[in-house]
Amino acid sequence: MKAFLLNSPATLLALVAAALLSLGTVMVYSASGARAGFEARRVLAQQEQLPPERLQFHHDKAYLVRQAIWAVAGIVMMIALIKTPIETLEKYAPLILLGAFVLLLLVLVTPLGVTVKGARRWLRLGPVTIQPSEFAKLALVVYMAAYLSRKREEIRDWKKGFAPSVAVWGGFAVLVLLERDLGTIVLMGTVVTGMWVLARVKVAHVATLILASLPVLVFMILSHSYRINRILAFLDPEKYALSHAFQLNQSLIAIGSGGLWGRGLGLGIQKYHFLSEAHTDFIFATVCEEMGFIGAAAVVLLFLAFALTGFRVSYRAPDYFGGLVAAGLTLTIVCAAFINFAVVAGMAPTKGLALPFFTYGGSALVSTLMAVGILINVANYTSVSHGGE
Amino acid sequence: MLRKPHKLRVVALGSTFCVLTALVGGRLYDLQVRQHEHYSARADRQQTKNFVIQAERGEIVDRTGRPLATSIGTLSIYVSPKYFRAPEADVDLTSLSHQIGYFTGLPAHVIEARLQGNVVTNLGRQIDPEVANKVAALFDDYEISRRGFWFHRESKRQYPRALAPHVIGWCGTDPDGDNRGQAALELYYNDEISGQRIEGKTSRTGLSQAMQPLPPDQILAARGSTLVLTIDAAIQEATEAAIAETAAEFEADASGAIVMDVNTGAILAMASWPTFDNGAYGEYEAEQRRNRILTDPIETGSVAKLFTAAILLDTGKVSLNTMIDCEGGRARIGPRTIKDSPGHTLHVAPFYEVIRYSSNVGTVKAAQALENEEWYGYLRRFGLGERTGIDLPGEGSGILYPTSKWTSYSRTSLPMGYEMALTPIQIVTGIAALVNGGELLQPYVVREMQDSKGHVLWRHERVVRHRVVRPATSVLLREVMEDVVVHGTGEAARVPGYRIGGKTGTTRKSHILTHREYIASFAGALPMDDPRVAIYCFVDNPQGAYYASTVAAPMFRKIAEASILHLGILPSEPIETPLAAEGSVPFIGRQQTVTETVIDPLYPGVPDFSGLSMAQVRQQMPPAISNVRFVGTGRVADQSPLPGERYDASTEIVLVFSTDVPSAAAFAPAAIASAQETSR
Repeated sequence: MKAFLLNSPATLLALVAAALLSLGTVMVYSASGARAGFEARRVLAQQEQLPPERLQFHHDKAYLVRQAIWAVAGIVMMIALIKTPIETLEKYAPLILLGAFVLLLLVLVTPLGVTVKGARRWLRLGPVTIQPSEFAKLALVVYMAAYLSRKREEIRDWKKGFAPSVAVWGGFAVLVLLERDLGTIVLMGTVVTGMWVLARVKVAHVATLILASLPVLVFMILSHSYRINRILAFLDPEKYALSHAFQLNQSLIAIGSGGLWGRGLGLGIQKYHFLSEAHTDFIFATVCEEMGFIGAAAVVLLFLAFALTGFRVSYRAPDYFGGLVAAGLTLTIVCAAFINFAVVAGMAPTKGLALPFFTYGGSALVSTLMAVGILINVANYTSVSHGGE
Repeated sequence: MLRKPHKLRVVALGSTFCVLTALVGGRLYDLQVRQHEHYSARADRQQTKNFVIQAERGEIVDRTGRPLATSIGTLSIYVSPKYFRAPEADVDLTSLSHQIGYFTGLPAHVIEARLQGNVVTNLGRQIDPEVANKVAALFDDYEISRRGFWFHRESKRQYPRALAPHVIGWCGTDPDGDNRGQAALELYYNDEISGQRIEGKTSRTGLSQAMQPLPPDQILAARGSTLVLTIDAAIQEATEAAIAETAAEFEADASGAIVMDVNTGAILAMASWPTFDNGAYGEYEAEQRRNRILTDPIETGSVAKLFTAAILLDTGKVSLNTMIDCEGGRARIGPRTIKDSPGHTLHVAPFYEVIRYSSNVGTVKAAQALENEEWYGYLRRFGLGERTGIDLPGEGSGILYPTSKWTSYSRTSLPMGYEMALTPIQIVTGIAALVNGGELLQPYVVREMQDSKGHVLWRHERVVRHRVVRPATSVLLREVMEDVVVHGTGEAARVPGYRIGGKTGTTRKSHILTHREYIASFAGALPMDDPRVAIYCFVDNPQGAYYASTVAAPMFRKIAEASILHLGILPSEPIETPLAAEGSVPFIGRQQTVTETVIDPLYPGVPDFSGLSMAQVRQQMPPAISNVRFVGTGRVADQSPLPGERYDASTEIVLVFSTDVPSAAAFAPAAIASAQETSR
């Protein structure tokens, strides 16, 4: 059995993904229950003219139910992608990217776009709201893998190979930047760079690009005061404890007060209006508070396991596209995770970035599960081809 | 297939994530394990908040649950004057002060002076919440910053019936309101009824809400216990009215009365006059606030003759029919001449008539039969000269000297109630023992204590301190007391249809030599066929009339009537008093005392009836005895006269039966058999 697991990255991936999804869903309930309860009470209080504090605190399952529905949708998409021949993906990669760009534009230029907290990132489609940038990440990886696979002979050539891929990346980055989603740019920049490196783009080219984009990054940070403040807060959290670093401090308190074994699942206190975004970007702080160092380390190790299995799939992939797409998707998930860990633990400046599988949000969950689907597909492909040998 | 360099890069990527994992893990270990204490402390600091549950003082209610003391919630208005004088506020302090004063009752100039000051101050304490709200609205009208004023909850003690202030006492103020008992029950049971200010920590949210509503148990725990008294509000009210009316009628200095349940020791009413309002105790003198029933030693005078009679009958030194020569109301006994009060002049009279007409000569003469130590022992057993142990503070012990301090006058003073001063509570407790079968009970005013949910925490158990006289003596004493009311000085105490017993007492204050001052008092009990309550009342320094029969007996009657009404005591069949029997011997003649009584050798001693049933008693009764009285059912528990004492044809034998007594036949059949033979 053990040998079977080790030799079957597809099964291993599925198990790790299942573990993360279960844990994540439970944590969504734990971290959002209080907030949902508060919102439910506020509605009740308005209807029944009761002061909110008269109603008992309770956990409401509203967020959990929505997240579970999204998880089911995500699993359906995942299975569909497992069944889809990998060549089809490669073949339609440009169309997929085009579709993603169109969705991003729809957010920006049509009334369907929804603005939350100053960022226009969401698209309202009837009863559901989706975040196209989450799907655009997948599309970018798939397209980039397909492109790099197709141009693998010319990739070391600046004009014919590298520059067009930079242009595609640039297009994506501009659209996402217009949605004020710096976190996604940092994430996908890392992922795309990784794919370039794997595709043996000239190091000098990549280095030049990075150097060239640094001023742009600095400009983007300086263009918005909240980004400067986040940097300041990161550099001196105690000084800005009550202002810019409030959230970071609350996160550190949550993590630190969790101790070795944690307060116990569901027993966290920081989620009661101390830690804002307790159920989204800072959900890992709640994990640390409730499950302690032991639980938090387990989550980190699960992501490491996911990374290593993903890279193993990439390493074993029978074709160039499969290898690159597996590596790109793995990077998309685990880079997000590790950047999130770093932000929550105060090791990096705050940026809005979800923790895959954990953060409350339908689009992110579905896109993560779709990535897992493609990874398992590639892994299966590997096994099948191995079986053929 | 990927090429080799690609594979190397994948391995490098994997390694990178291993390093990242180690970094994140190390950081988490640092935060969660190494710095755990630091962050825990920070978490506790922000995640908890202190809460205070303010004390609520328990109620005091009468025996039927009518509230006598209760606490209501009020608000005190505090202000920070600088907000009233802020330039942007632009407040006309004078007109504002007048408006506040209109609501709170505080003089406007005082309010204005406080608003001119610089320290946080109050503009009225213990204000009705509705009024406080109006003041808040007023402040809002003047657009005074919400930081400039606030309200503090304070409880206010109220005494809704204004009854028994001497028993209930009063409360001082602590930061949360009236919750410091300072006198009487409020003081004595302060620990139990005072609410507790509960301070604690509770989890709070980031919005500063308490995570849980304050636990109802704790809120209730903050409330003190409820005292349920033995006092009956209705009897108390009537008693207070009676003593006040009497004091007014006779322009007396003071008066007081106490009503006690003779079977339990429960105090049904306890009143002193002059009285006061315990809701405004500060405005009264100590003289008005003193509970005379507990503190004032009173030379009881003739009332004490009941104790003297009880001792003489209990020891068998005299019987009711013992003839005593009262020498026309003037006799030299020991070192001095004893005089009777004018009115009813007695010559040779049976002992019951001596008491009926309150003859000093007869009582003192009979008492000469007593030994000092025996006498003193009895008085002490009546509880005289020591605290009764009632659950009220400040009880006095009265004055009763030990025999070592007796003077040459003591043996002639003590029988008629001089040379000893007793507190009213001692007297009524002693009287209760006289009529209840001879047991001295511990008096009490708190029947039970209930927690804030109404559960009984403890209930007062009847406490018998000890037996004072034999049950048969008690039966005789009841007859003596009833006789006083039927034929003697206590006629004004009569309540038609009821068998009342009692004894008057008119005392000239012996320590006042310049003029005459009297204390008129009456001690009694009812109904005499089955005593329920004992009542003692007194009037200090009445003007005009001073005899107890005219001053104290009518006051007693009013209190007795109220007791009958509110306890639902049914009328009894009036009976012919048995004490009118004719032809009584033995005889205490001139210069004689009881011990010298000539005894007729024809009659042997009274048989021992103890443990016999009524049928057995009838069989064994010597034929010479015709006058036998049975009291109770069961087997003989006590008898009078005692076994072996001399008797004659006129002697009345009183037998007290009880169901608790084991059969004598069980252990002494032979004795009964021989007794039966003798009687045949």
